[in-house]
Amino acid sequence: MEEVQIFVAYAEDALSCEVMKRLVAFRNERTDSGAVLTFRKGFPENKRGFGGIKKQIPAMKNMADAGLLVFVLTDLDQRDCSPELIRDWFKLNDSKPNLPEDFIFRVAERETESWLMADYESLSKFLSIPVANFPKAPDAIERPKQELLNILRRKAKKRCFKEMIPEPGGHVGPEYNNQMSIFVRNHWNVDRASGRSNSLQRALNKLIRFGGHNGSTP
Amino acid sequence: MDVSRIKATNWRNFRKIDVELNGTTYLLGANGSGKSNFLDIFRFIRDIVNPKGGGLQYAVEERKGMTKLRCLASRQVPGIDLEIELKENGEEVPTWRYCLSFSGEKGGKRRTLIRKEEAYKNGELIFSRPDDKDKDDKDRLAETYLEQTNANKEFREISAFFQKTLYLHLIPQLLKYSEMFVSKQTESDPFGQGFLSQLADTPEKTRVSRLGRIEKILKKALPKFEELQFVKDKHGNPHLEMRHKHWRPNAGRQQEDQFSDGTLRLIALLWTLMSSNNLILLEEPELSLHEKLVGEIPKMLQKARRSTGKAGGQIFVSTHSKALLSDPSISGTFLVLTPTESGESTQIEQPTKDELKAIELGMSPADILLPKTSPIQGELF
Repeated sequence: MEEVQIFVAYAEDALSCEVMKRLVAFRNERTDSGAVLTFRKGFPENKRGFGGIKKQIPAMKNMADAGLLVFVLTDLDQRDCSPELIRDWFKLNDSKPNLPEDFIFRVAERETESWLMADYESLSKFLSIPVANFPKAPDAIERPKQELLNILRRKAKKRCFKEMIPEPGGHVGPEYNNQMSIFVRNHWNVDRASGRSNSLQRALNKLIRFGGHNGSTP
Repeated sequence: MDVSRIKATNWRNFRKIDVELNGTTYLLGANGSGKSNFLDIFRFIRDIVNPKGGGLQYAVEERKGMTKLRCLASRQVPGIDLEIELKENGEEVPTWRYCLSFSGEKGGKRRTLIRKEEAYKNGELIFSRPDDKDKDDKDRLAETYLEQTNANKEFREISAFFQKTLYLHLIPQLLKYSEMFVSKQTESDPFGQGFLSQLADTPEKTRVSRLGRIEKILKKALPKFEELQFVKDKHGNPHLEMRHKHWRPNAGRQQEDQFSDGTLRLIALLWTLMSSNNLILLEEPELSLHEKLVGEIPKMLQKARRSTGKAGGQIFVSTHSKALLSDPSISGTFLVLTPTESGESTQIEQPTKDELKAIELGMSPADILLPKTSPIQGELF
């Protein structure tokens, strides 16, 4: 089967990189016609925050215009909506900003953690924390990572999950990315999560449409 | 004159190398991927041509023999082949091409014997071995023509080129605590104390002018720094002395054993760049330096190359540094070292057309090439 290479893929943190890999794998299983998406060696890369990604937007746009496939996943955080973020980062004025075909730019509302908490059944089972503790409307959570860490602070029992909690002054504990990556790779039900998170659903649609029909996006 | 192409088979952890070079060469690879092994090709040839007791046998023994030198992945092929082309700026055909194949002697004295040695000038063969004399007298094959002054008259430029190779990998502790290490002082590799001797051996006028230029740069890079001087103690031993701003007029003097690691490495780096218009091998110049300074290294290299003018001064740099590889002024040849599928050896890749295009469109080598060398997927902890 034809392979289409994602030339560069960037995310803000290690966990989002895992999510990108899982989404592309999921997309490849779902598309029975057209090309398989693969990452170029070494990608996705963890850019450690959005600063490095934002700075490279003009160069990445040049690449996408030149036919090199770019995939970026970033968090909406405290902004109003993703079109606003795109207008700002890409320096566009249109109300519905258009990006090059080969630039898959996705914004998680409000953080990647919302996409993961959207499958609260699996997450509750994975962390051994009763499901009643998890919020049910993922895109509406103001600070999803904080929310998840708060749940862990209250309810985590196993040592490896307790080590996901940050020490004072830190953002995450030493086991955070590791455990959440295991969850993403082996337990996260993408179908179920995308049924509940609008921004995840849109990201998946874009990926599934991409290259699905002779390499062109409808 | 620059090295324009290197070919090798079975050299250390590389089964095969074939790269064309242009300008400053940056070697990118994970820890243990073989960046130093690649640079060792030049040091190996320098050891062969070293007029003070060098030679092929010495160069191989220095590296603990053929079994350590040969690529583990190729059990079939017994020997090592090296081929190097040297080109004048702007020329089409390489001025010099030198080929050397050698392997271990089976039985007997277990020396290293030449299987093939050839040199070309402007594309024309000067000599090829083994020749008839070699067939009569096998002992001759233990020595290259390159290392023999009475045999290399017609291609002495090649050995002169490699004799002047400089390798910089300053280890500050070796310099600061030299009395604690009974280390062998390699003449032209300033690992430690050798660096101060190098300073001492430089004619005073040159030394003063170079240290003056270094002082200017240090004034910008180090807060409170005022003065850098070369001094000799009462036993005649060479030292570097720095003066910092201090509220007491005569205080604030420090000698090299009190310098910070980063300061020492920066001084050594600048000194090396000023002191050669030949091949310079820099091993991870970013070590111990603040990221802002590391980002300046590509510019330092370019300036050094320009100041030596037509004489050249080709530079090879091994690095992991994002800051170094993100600098917008960076240019040259990028070689990416990655393990082969089987993991037994390392391959050297030059950037693909698409990768070069991306860099041209505004991405940096750090964005496009460095991730390929990442040793781990995800995180270690």
